[in-house]
Amino acid sequence: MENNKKILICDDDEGILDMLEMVFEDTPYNIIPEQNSLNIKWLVEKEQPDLILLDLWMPVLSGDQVLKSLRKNPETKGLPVIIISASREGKEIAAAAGATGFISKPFDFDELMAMVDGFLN
Amino acid sequence: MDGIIPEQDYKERYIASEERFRTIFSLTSAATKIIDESLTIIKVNKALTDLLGYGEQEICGKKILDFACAEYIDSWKALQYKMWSGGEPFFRLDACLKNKNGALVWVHVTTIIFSDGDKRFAYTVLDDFTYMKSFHESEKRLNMSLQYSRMAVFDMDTLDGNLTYSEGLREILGLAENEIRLDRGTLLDCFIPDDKVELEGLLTALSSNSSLEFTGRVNTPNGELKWVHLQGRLDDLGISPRLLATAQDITKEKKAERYKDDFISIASHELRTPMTILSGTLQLLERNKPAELPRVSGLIDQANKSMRKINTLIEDLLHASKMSEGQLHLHKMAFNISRAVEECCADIDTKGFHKIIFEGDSNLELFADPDRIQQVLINFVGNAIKYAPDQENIKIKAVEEEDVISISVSDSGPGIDADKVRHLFDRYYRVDSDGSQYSGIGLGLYISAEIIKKHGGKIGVSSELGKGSEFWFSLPKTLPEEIDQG
Repeated sequence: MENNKKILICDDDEGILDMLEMVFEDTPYNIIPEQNSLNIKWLVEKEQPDLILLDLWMPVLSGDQVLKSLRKNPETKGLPVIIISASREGKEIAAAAGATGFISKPFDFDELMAMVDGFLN
Repeated sequence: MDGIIPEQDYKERYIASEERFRTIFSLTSAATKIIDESLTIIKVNKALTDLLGYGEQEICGKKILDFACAEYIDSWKALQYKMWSGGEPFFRLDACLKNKNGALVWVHVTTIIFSDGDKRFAYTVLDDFTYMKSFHESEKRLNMSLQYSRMAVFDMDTLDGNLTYSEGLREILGLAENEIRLDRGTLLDCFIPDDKVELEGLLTALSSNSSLEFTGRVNTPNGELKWVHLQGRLDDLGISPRLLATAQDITKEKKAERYKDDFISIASHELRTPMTILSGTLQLLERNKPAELPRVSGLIDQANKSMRKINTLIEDLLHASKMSEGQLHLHKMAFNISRAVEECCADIDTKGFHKIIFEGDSNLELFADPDRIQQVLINFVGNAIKYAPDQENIKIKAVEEEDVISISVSDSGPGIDADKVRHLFDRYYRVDSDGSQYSGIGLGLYISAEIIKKHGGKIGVSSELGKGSEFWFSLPKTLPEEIDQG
């Protein structure tokens, strides 16, 4: 159990968090869901996730802002982060902020899983 | 003959001079009269009787002020007094008379006093400017109605760029009073850079298109942006070809459209999240379905299909609302057409029946936004599948011409009525042939048209009932120098 990789998922919508938890249920990954983007910083410090799934458009602190600050920190500079977004323009914003991967909503689970597997193995 | 002129000659010359005067007096088209010291009219010419509509007998013996409009009588009287009693040799005024029909006649009056022996007379010319006056009145009325409808009219010489225009044009274009001279160049400068480029292209193409329809944004002194709509046609029957056009301030209408689009945009965005969950849940269902219930798979498929349709509609709504916002940004680059066609056609559901055939040079490249062009292609092919469901082949052709590259999507389906062809690229227009119901909200072609327009290209369709349809678009070829600058 302790050797399972950790995935931190942040999205302001509870429904999406629940669904993603269900998606990853039968996988060897541990999911840490978080609704409030302001909590990401200390959660990352505490839990040390192996991958972050980050929604782009979030209130108060947006996904790209979180990502930029993660990239500034030498500890999390190389941490794989996949940005989820509903808009096309999101892809560019994500890339500019230093995202490792990008997937648009509504997403294909197989595609998401392949991306996650790719980054974690 | 020199020396003193004998009296007989003076008399002859006087009589001859009198004759000349009488002839001119009777024949001139200027209404003329002669009055005596009591201001009574003693002689009139034909032009005057025509002007007033009264006969000679009806006018002679009367005074001119008997025919004048009340408002002018006092000032006219004062001038007469100054001349007859005050020693002024002549006077002038503009006045109004009433003719026999009761209609108003506007005249420039010139009266000169003269003596014949010991008697004094006055000679008056009445110059009719009624037409000029009614022209000015109707021009005033036109200007007023134009201003109330926030419109102006203008007339541009396409050769030298000179502009003649109605009062309100400067205001509509956001120009301060009498700042700079308005001509083709300064008219273009009123618009924001992107729109200025588009308008310039349309003005240059005027000789071949012969009509102009353009909407753009102008800067105003207070920094706000105004939306201006120009509509006109080419008139080349005169000395040089002229553009006759109207300009209208449609900022209010655009604002209303913007509120509607903002609403659609927000609504569509909000819809994405539940759509994501719906999609996710269906995928989970698919994975977790019990093997003993094969029917469940079919049901899940149905749900998935519907959900994808909803998704497309949401995408279309979002695109359409962004389009009129002017938020459509193009990321132009050179890309291979046949590969782009392959890529986007892989995503299209050909229902296991249709075949998409590409014809054309496989090395041909386009300089455009590949995502948007693929969007147009997907729209065209999707329409072909939707409206020509029984035809197997859908042909995509790419042709390089002199200045442009043309791409067309053709099917051999039922074709489209000529009436409907005109409206195809309108927003929200859907073709319902023979009463059958087609899905979609009719935004696809509108969006495609906007994309092509933004690229500076042309889009169109040729179709004949029973023979099929060919949807095409053409984009200008780009010179290598332009690619480096882009």
